[in-house]
Amino acid sequence: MKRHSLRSHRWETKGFVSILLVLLLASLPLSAFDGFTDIFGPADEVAATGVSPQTPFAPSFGINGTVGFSIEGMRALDDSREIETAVGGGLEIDLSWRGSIVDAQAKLALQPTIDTPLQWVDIFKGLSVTSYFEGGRIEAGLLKKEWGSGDAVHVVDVLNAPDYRNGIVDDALAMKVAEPMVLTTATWKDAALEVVYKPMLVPMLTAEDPEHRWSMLTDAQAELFSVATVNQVTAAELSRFTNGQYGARLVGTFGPADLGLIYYNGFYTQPAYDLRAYYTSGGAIDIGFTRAQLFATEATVVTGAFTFMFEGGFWLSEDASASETETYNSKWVYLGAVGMLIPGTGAYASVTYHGQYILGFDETNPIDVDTIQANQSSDGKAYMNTLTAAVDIPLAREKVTVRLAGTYQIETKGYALLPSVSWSISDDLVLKVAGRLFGAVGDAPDSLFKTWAANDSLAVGIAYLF
Amino acid sequence: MKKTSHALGITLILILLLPWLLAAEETGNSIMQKVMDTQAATSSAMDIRLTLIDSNGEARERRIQTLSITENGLTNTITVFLSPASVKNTRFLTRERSDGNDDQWIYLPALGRVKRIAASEGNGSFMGSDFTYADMASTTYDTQEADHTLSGDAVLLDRQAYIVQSVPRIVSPYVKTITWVDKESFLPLRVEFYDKDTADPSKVLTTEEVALVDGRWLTRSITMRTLANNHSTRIEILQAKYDIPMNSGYFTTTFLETGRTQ
Repeated sequence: MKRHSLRSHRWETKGFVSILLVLLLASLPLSAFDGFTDIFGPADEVAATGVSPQTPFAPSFGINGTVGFSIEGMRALDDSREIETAVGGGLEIDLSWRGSIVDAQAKLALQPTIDTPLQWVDIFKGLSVTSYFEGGRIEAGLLKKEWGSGDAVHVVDVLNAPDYRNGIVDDALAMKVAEPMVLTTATWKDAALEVVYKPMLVPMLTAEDPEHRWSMLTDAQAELFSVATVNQVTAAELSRFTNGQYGARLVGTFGPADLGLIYYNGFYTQPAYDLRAYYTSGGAIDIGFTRAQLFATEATVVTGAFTFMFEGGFWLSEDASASETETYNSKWVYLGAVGMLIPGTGAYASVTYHGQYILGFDETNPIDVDTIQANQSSDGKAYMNTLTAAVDIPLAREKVTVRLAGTYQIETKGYALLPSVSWSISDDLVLKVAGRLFGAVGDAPDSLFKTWAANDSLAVGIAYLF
Repeated sequence: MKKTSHALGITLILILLLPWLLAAEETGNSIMQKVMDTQAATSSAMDIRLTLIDSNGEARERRIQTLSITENGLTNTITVFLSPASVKNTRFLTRERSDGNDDQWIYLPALGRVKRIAASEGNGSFMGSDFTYADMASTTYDTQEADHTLSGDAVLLDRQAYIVQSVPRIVSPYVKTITWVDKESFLPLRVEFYDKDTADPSKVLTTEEVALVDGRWLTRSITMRTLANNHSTRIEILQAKYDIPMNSGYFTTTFLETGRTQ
């Protein structure tokens, strides 16, 4: 009931903003980047073959987006015979303005899918200004950026905190939180250097209610949190100057390979629980975050029909000696992937193997944050390895796309399967049916996927693209 | 006597001119070389509309713009998809390497990142059309890539045409093609594509409109029809420019990511 009232209140606000956006949409010319207008002229003015005037640059405004509706059904947590439904879809809109040396972009969303109190991250998926200069550009605002070479799965993609409030969805960008940052990119012919500064710490987002169906807490943790006093980190603390983060990424092309080097000085985005006071004197549980530096490399190598992708790095924790229970340890991370077009089908398939190895892991200490996390995600082991595969199959001249994606966590035998079928009724109207299946194979230990086993769902939606 | 000497004179002249006359006679190779030469340019810019038409006449439109530049015998191409909305602003960069392979990158606006990819499968459909990626590169073969035989003449679209049969020496989705080449413009007027073990063509390309612009012959509208399902794709060249100055900044991953050359 509480959930419904929250939604109702939010819809009043969203309805108002939606009307404003639709009015704005109707009153503006379309398309910021509109092709090679300096060569062909405006794209909506088709000139005679071979004859068109050279067109000077003119600022332009663009709107793209989707408006849609979806309904997702899943079993009720308290009674598996009942079906709960969640309404999704809504309005997503990309506004862009293109000037001679400045671009501005706003990615806004009005979606009823997140059933926690409405936060700015749910509306602003991006809000940035980019200024161009000779040999580079500088971007500032709320941004989503992707570092790494992998196919949607990464181990060195550190600039945005993940968002697990709606579990796992088959859209890597949707699972990122747009973060405030300033990013400068200097480019040469086949190389680019990015330097980034993030003024505040944005933690990973999870369902806060331990009873929530997408809670990432194990039953034991949920029970503990329901009785203990938990000292959360406040927004003011997260915004402290000392929580600033920075990094750099150098990428370049060398023959058939794209190579990159990464340095990042930031935080592990998952919270670390300090349980010492609770277990020694019944005191409060403090939540903190661990600062760490990432030294990493990435590569994409193309050979024939195959694309090989690699990422590898070392996270050097502030607790380099692995002596503190309330901070995460240093660790190695690695990823290898291969993608290819399947001959004669037009289908693209990729397989990714990725994992981590925690240094100084102490499995005998139950209040060490590394042990707690390992119990949740890798059967209490220092190492965690996961296999992810996906295949996209276009059918009926790309009117229909079948996508099968799945991930298997080797230590816990946990899996997530995300099949979907999209049908383009017309070029701008798409019907989509998607499923989410979670669970674990056989007599498996606790894991996130096992925790979410009751969250299997089927969603049907329709979206209009503009 | 006078008649005899006159005939002898003509015979001598013909004997002397024979090598020149033989040299002027077109062969399959020379015709296809002229087809390639006619379409060659150091740079080109094309604004293209693709219309996909299914067997019951339902049409879907796609709009792309493509720029190409050839330097030191190597061609770089950038393609921008303008519509429909689902692919709008997708950008695609191909750079030819000296070893004959291509480097390719794609920018997907939904992901906001540039990704290096393997070369597209030659016989895969281009944007769901009746053209394969190989067809989009060229519907005729280089003289180094196929054996071309002149098999006759014909009149097509009220124009005189050579008929050239081509059997590819390279790996190709087709075992042979038959091309009707306009004798005046050396543009292909019709191409029949034959799959293995078939007497009838699997696809037929028909030129619907040619034009002479600034002294250069251009194909303005062509249609590729897949005979098995009667699906067809029409390509209209809305604008075409050749040998124009072109900013090399277009052919970079920076342009892919930002849509800007600076």
